Amino acid sequence: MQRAINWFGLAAGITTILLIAVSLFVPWWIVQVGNGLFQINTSPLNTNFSLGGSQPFAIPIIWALNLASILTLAAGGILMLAYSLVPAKPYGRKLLDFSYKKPLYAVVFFVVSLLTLIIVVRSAFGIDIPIIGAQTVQLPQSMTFGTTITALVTANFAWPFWLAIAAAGLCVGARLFHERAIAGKQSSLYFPSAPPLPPSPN
Amino acid sequence: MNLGIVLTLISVLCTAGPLAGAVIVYQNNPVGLVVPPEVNDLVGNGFGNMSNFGMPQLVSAVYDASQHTETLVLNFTNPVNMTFALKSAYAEVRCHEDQVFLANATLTSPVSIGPCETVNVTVVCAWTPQTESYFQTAHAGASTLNVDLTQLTINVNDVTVTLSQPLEISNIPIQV
Repeated sequence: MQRAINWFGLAAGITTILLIAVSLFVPWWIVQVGNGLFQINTSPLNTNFSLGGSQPFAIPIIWALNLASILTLAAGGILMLAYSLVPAKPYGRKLLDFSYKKPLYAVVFFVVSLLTLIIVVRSAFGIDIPIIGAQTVQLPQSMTFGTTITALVTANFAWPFWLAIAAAGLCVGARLFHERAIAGKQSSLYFPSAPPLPPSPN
Repeated sequence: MNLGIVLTLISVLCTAGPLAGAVIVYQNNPVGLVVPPEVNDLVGNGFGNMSNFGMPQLVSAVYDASQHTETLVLNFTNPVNMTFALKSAYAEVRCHEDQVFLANATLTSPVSIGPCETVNVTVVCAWTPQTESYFQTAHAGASTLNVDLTQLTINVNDVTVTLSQPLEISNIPIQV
């Protein structure tokens, strides 16, 4: 009998673990003020700030939130891997329900946090930070004692952000194809093997 | 034990554990949770007090009669612990007495200013024939003049700063 494996779950688990590893070193979103004068590198797993090319520094409360995200995603990734190998076991569905939402929540939480930050900064300080691309921003003169200060602000998503979306998509795929996986049909449906050869005419 | 309870416990521990740890570590310094020492250092080293960024001081002014240019050397001290790249500078030079426009002043070449370093910055003003005739009529016989640098605009690391107050420079030689 063919062993049931949720291939989407396997790919999702591997991608999630890979995402954690790369996100420790490469941010999801980078915003730079001026030419290296001030830089924010952020993701749900690692956020740091750099001023004038100095050593990056973190804010302790954000560091704690990042650590919580790392642990949560790691638990989700490991349990997704475990689930994908035993989807038909009675506890498989519980493992899946626990793990498939984690990358999705991370992406949604991250995007909502970015949008909230941009809206709050715009409302409170009148500073328009771009979410992608470059924009010249002028600081309100109430903040600069009458001096006019304008800065080129550039912002971009880095490739781990797209990897996170891929991981979230694979997790949702794992959930959608759970029923097929436990029926043992997924392998032949989505990873087809070569069709049987027709009988020889002799 | 029920798997559901174990998974819930994992969720709670993963989320609350780091936050509780941070709160315990910073229980004697709650402000430190949101303001890291690096930010305190920056505030203490200059960014917290804009007056630490002193106005440039005139070191020398040389008039070149053949080129009709005035070369001003100003010195500037960087009070903070980071490197600035002064890419460009521009100002209108006006007579301090009657605010008549005399020339534009521009930075000759980009300057890098290291942490807590003092550097000389050279700017050049090109006097026009109108400027020189103004010197001969309004300041006949004078060998020096007090000028204001107005609309002083500098580009530091692609951040452009335009000063609202003019920068007065005294005793610029104007031998015409």
